[in-house]
Amino acid sequence: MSHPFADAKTVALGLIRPIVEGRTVILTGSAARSALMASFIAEAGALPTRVDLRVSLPEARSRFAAYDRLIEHPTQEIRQLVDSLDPAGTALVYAGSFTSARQFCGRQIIGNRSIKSMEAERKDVQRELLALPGAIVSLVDGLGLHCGAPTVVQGVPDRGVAMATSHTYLIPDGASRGAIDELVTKLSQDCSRVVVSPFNAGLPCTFYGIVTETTVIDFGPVEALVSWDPQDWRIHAPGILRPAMLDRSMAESARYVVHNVVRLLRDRVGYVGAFGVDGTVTLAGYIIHEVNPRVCAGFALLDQLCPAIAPFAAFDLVLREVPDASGPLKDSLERAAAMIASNTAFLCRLWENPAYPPPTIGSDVDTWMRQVRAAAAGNHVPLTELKEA
Amino acid sequence: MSLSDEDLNTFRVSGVIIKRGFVPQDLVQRATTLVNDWYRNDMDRRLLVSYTQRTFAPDLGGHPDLLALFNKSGVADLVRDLLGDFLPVKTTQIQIRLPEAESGGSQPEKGMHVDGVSCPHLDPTELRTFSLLVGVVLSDISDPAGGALRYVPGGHLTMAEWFRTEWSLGITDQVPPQVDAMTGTPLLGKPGDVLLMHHLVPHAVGRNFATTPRIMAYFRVSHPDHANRRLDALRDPWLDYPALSTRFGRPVQ
Repeated sequence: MSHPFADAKTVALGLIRPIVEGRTVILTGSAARSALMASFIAEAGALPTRVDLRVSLPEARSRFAAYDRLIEHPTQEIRQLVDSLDPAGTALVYAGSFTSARQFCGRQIIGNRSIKSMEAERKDVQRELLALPGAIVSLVDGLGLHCGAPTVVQGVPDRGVAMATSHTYLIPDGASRGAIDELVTKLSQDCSRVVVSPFNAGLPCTFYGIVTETTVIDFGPVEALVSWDPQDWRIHAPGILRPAMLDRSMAESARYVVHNVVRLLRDRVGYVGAFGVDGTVTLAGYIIHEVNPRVCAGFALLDQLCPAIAPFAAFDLVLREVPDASGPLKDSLERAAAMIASNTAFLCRLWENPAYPPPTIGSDVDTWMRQVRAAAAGNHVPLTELKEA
Repeated sequence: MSLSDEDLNTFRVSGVIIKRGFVPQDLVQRATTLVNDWYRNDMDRRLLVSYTQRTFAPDLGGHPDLLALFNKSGVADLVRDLLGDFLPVKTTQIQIRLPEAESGGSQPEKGMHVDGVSCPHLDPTELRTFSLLVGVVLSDISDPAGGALRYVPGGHLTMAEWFRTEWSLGITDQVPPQVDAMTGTPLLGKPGDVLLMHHLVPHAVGRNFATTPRIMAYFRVSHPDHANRRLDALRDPWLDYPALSTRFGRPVQ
């Protein structure tokens, strides 16, 4: 039997080739620097070329918002660059999994998501669409918290979507009214509404996967390295670690819950493609906090785990772009997922230090995991240490 | 044995705690032997619907080897941490989900509900509620499609709100529509795992597509004052939990 990753890639190339073969494909936005995607496009018989939008904002939400602004409203300089690379104006554009823009400099964008799918990433929309826990509160009314217990507040930006905990805060037990009012003032700068939910103590855990028209495939749980800044109450999620140390019953139960919520997302907004589900493994089971219908930063770890095959974003692109891609891709992706799940290699990905080394052979893995968690948390408090009310 | 702060906080937020491998294996062994013998030799398949609505192995409900799962395992101590005093537990409910291949699809499923409220087989004005459901896993449950109990973490707060604001005695709906649409979290585990679940946490159970029966022992535990305030306990999730209220102040509703 051939290697499942090679199978999946071969199938994906076969599906995308009729669309891109012989054409120039401009990689831009968050995809401009993806060597793996450029390679995949080239193997599909297209000519990849890059248009770097020169956005260097460190914060994900600002960076992606800037990409989308420039894609929708390119500068004269960008237009001239694109026209010089594609004088006939027939190139296709791939701008990453996040964008919902339809065109870039008059050229068709492929692999984008629908506006409905983009909307489904909003935390307030998700509460109702996917029945996730938490109450939607208007900031005009104040938070109305009694603060007898730690409480998570997620701001819902009036424009765009919150990304990477950009608007997520944990209000500690016994917080003063004045301090809470300060947070309300801060959130009110770009949010009218917030989602308020109780803090779930446990192991933060993320599932990455791909949903097709017929199935949900996950690549196994990873530990989300999440920390809390006691100064400004902001939650940070600076990286991930795999494999997540879950007992089998808990992992299977969590997988069931994840698959259900992703199926719901597909059935209600028609979404197919990559996803990430964030939540916490608690003593009561897996509690989902949010669902991200797109390729998330953590997919880089999957690419790292399966080098030289295809970027996982390529499967997202194919599923979004090719009708009925699910059938041909399903089996090989499922076999690839099973192979990833059975891979017990310890790996981490810290967004600000992607090259953080894995444990050396024979070293104490527990020690290494503690070191990774400490490195990720910096001077913040790892969320796993916040156990009590 | 007592519940940790993390246990108590999880219960407050989710209405559920799972304690893995809590019941000693010798107690589990005696209980499973008893139930398995009944399943093989004494079960009357014509009574499957009745068993499912009430209990399997009805004659064994007061058997010491089953009650020992609650009284001699340390579970009673955990319950005391939540409820303070409680009425003596005198009976065990055994719930078995037969494999589909054995039942031929004749075992009824149970949609989302809370126990003792608007039961389809009871008068809708009658309440048979209690304070806390304790479940002890007696078979390997590794497949969500294997007849696993499915529950809604945090649903006790949703239900209390519904009982306060929309529901009234005699209504036949068991849960609000948004809860009814949920699939819930499956309880997977191994023999000896213990589930502590607030009486207002909605739960459901479906068909068993695995090849082996799924077996649980359940104990319904009541605060001594519960019978006198069943309606109020539907609307105030912490009425029967003075120990929790004392520890955390009045928990969020």
